[in-house]
Amino acid sequence: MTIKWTRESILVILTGIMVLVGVFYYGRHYIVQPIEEEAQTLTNTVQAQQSLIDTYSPEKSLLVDYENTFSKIETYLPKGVQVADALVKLEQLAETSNVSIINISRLEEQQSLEEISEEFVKDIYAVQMTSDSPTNFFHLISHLMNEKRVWNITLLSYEKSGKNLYTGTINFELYYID
Amino acid sequence: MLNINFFEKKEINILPYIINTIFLVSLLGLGVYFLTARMYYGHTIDDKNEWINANNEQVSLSRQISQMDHLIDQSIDAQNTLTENQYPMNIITEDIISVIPDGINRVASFQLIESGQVSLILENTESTMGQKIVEELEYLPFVTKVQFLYAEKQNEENNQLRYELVINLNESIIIEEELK
Repeated sequence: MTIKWTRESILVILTGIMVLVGVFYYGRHYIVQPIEEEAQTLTNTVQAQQSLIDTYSPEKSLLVDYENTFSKIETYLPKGVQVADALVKLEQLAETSNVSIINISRLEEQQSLEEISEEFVKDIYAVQMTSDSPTNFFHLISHLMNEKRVWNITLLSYEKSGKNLYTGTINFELYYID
Repeated sequence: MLNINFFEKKEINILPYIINTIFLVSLLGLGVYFLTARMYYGHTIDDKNEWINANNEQVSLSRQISQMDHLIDQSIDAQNTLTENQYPMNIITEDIISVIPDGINRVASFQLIESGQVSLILENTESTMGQKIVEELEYLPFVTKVQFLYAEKQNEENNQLRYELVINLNESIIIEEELK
């Protein structure tokens, strides 16, 4: 028995190596990789879900606690504009301040608050009003600005319309979660 | 002449057998690798799917809590930002009217818009009083400029005038002071 290296044997070895490399490459690509990727995706999903469960313990009582916290926030930053509540408050504060509301109109709606988040939007309203003194307008504005729900008053204009009669306009922005 | 030597031993080249054996063993190894890998990952997939199905409700509850927590954090941040950015309409109007003597009655028209300009019409104001009002307004920390637009005589019997002024504001000064 002997081992005799010839040119042909070297060529056969090189061919064999190329065939093996090809089988390995295509085998991995078509047989192993698809199932490996699927397994990896599922592993990542499970890890993420496990981490979620570890961070937020899946207890109904905990969800109720969070919902209660959010419902307090909703009183001043509601889901949906809740304009009826806002207008009732405006009427009440106007009455307290001796201001008569003539009309309220919406100027713009659902303007996004890009500086905060796309989930938060604002509507803009204009209110026309009268009173016997501009001091009452100032009181109304102070009351509105002291509310927990932010009333951003962006315009105030008033003028004397007669003896002891002033007509005024305010524009305000109401914020809410879209 | 025929020469036959029965004792001559012909040497066999075993290299092709070795090469063939190595090739076949390698091929077999690759096959075993593919099969084992598929079985391993298949088993992993079954395990993970089983886990997902078993914990579906818990994950859903945790996700709801997480979303609620995220919304709460976002809402608190948004509320703080909105409060900080609230236009200080009450401070500006009250400060401006307070530096005008008898401002409630003297100001016949007032207009303040968020762009930072106030337009004022003053009535029954003598020229010296008008000058004093302009100076007082200029002393206000958030006023950057007071522009005189016009003055006209209100009636022939006295020297009282009607003034229109435009006041330029820098509201950021008020907002910064409030934040302090």
